[in-house]
Amino acid sequence: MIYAGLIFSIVFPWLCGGLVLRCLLGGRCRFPLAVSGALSLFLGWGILTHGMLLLQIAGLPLNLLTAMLPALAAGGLAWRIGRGQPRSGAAPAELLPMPEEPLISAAGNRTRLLWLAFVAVTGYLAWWILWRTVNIPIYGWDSLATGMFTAKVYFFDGNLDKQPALPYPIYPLHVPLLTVWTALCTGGWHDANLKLLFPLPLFGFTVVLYHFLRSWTRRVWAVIGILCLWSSTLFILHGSITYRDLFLGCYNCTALLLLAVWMKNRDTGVLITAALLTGMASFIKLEGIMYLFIHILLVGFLCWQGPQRPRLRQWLSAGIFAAVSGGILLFYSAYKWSAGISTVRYAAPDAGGILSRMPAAFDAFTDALLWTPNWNITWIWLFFSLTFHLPLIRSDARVRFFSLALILFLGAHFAVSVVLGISQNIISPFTISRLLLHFFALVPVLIVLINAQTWAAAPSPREAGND
Amino acid sequence: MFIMINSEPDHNRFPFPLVRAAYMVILTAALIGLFPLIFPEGLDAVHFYNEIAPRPTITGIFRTRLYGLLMIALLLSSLLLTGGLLAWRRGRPSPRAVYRYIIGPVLLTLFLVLFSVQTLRHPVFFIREILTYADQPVAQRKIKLFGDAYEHALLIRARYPGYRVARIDSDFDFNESLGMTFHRRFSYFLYPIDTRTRSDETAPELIIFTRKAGAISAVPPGYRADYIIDDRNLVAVRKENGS
Repeated sequence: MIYAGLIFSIVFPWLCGGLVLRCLLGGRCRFPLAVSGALSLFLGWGILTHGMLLLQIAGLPLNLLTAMLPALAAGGLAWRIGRGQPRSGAAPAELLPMPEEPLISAAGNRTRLLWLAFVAVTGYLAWWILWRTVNIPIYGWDSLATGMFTAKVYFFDGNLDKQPALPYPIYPLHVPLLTVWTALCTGGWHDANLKLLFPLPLFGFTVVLYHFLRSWTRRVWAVIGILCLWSSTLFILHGSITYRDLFLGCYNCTALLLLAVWMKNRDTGVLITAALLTGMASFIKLEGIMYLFIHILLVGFLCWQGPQRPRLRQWLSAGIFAAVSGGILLFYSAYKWSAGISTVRYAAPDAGGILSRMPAAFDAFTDALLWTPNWNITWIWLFFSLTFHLPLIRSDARVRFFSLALILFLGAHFAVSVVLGISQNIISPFTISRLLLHFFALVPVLIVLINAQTWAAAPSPREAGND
Repeated sequence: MFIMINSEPDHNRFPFPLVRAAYMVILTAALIGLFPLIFPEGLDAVHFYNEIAPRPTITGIFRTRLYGLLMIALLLSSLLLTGGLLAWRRGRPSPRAVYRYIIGPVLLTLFLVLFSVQTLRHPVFFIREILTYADQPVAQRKIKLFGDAYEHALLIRARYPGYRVARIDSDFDFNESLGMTFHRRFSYFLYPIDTRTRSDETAPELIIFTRKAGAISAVPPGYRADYIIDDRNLVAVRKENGS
């Protein structure tokens, strides 16, 4: 019965999200089934948790039946709207998978050996993640102190009434509410079973990333990209614990990948899907609010850089993105305001200490980036890749977009740690590593995009130094 | 790696001996890095996650951790190859060519070496976890993880079912790291016995004494010791009028 409940807890939001995704993308941008499945799950989770928040605002009790109602309504509405759209259509070239090709050009035993190694390593790590998820109960400090404690209170109370009195009431509720949903489906609070929710974003995002890298480069580079991602021990560890950082990282980076698609095809459905994911990310952690503003900046940048179109139409796209993602943020902010919960976590800027904090913050960031085994050597690899390919940043729109995004994310966290008086909390290696996890997936993306081009064709004699 | 380099059309003109020398450096570093897998006393040399490796110093090179060692291998081989390429060729190679022939292959090799070593090291953690947690009921695993914070909470919840407001009293300083950790765990497992959301309650229904020396004598007026787990752990219940 518990396992049936667990399956239902995944299938229901997946179906609702799938209907919304179909409504948004229609036949214009069909992704492969696995990618659509992952995107549907991400969207469905967000719809479900916002629906649960809506129940609280409406004063309805929180139980399995009522929790399903808003998501069902959203799915039904999306189905109704999507029914009128064409069932099939040509996917834009941007998203078409490349023709099948061997992993490396010299097909044969070597190819099979590489595939075998890749499948063995990722399969082993996936097994470890699942084993750990199922066998080790919730244990993380933040989980027991805030996230899972909050979820447990909501589950036993059947409402969110105690939120103002809970520890850190300002924290967003996506993951606690998802946990409540899983507990409602399984019929009780089981510390081990509830964890099955947490590796799903990791697996879903891996599928999404592989597809996009495969579409943009060759298969061998898509494989290297996934290896880069999974070489981060922190990334895979977070798949087996009940922290919210991995959720935020997956939503944040999936939205950026979709924006990179939108950059080329300018499909409003893709833009709105990205906006929904961005808005939902702001419901996962407070950092998501900062990322939302960064995403709006990036969309503005894409509009400014985009092909010559009527200006008004371009800025209308930015307006749509800001309205959709900001609307989701405002929904939760309005709830907090009405419930008497502070909507911002204010830390007074301490201008006098900026210069004195800067070296310490810089030191802490370089330590977290370069001297932890959390990321393998991916940051160093990225640094060299960018340094030796500066012209590529100017000429390749995707490289430029992801580089800018990465600089904005890093810069924002560095600025926060230096400017605000909360720097001591941020610059502990543990915290910085978790913050980096929110956008770490951009590192493999950039490494792959740059290196795939470098090795795609032999450089001219002049480039090789024969001039 | 060799595949990529060998497949280059102008490989005859590339300083292959230097490439091989660089790979020997990397290979040596990687083999040294594998030693911790063989010698138990070196097990901490390859950390699994979230540990800051010490920055390598000249004197500490041979006892630094694998990560630092690989960094040195990267620098040495890159310098070696860059110098070699510049000396070999007339003219100046473009940054892209330097990356393609030198930096890129070195980085990719280092990445794969480190990933392989971490993956080979990984089963040590995994087996340790399997030995600790496998084939046990969930409650037993929680006792291993949380000790009395879970065990006592379970007993108290069984004794006082349903929602109740309670306060925790202990010799632990809950503002200090160890005490705070215990408090958060204990509160989590106690819920729906609520010790956190109504902490301003002046006369809660229960006072839970945990790890409190002389707990019985600490029971305040208006309460009676109702459930004594041991001399340091008990639950006091508020006396109703006339009780």
